[in-house]
Amino acid sequence: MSTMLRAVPRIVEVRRNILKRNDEIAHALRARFHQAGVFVVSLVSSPGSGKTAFLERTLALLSLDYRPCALVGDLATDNDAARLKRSGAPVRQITTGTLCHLEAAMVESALGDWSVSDFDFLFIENVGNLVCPSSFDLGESLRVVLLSVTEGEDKPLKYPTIFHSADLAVITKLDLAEAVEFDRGAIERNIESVAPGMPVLYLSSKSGAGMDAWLERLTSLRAGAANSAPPE
Amino acid sequence: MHELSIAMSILDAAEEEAENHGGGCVSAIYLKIGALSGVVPGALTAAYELARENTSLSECRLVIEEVQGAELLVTALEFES
Repeated sequence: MSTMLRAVPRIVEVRRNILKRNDEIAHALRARFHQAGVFVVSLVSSPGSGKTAFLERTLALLSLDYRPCALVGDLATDNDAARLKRSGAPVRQITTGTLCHLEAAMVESALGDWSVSDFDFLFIENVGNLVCPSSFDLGESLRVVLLSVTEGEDKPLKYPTIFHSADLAVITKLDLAEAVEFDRGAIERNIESVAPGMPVLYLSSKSGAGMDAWLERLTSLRAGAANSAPPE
Repeated sequence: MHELSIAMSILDAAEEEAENHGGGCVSAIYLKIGALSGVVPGALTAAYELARENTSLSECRLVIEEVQGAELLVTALEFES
């Protein structure tokens, strides 16, 4: 009898988020960023959708009135960081090796000795990937998903999770829209169906069209965040 | 590919929770994986089988319940008595 009892496994109920450790670091980062008054924006997209060109232009324009900086994730090279440094803003590379996404601990360690209160904006460019980054909170206040007009209007339907996790969609390479017969109505319907109510901006990092509206949104979101209560 | 990170987080979470519940040999980890969590159960199982090697949970099974929503939870641990 006793041997039978011993054979019964003991099941203990727990309720624990698998990404608890990442979330804890992200929450601590978010509190630190809020206290320092730095507005943190992460960028996610497929490879080749124009994240780096977009960030390069954004950093250059913001530098006229603000103090922006950036962390850029890449698998193997520091090409993006070298390119972004031309904007004059401080930039650090996070080389992830074979890892397909950034995690909060990588952001924390890349910040290193940077005093975040010296900055108004921190941009975090994730590894080009529309799948893996969606699960990992980086402590950002705004997650921007980029999609270029050349990628096809059905991308939001193919990658709903990342669109669902983002706060704002930016459609890039608008200067090519005509050549690729970009269908604005279709992209808006598709984004709306996976992320209802998410705002969508259209711009060209090359021509600069639409950059004003993006910068206005950034600065007003930063002002709103500065006046808000600290994150829980 | 990020399933390997998730698998390693599961092992960490299970080891910590096992400790919290008096320790012992964990024979199964029960999970809830949401359809919107961005985690593919098949890929996670494969990654988990690699990740558990040479850990204290190398014999431990993964039992996945697929649900709606974005949950990514460890819901229970089974201990060998």
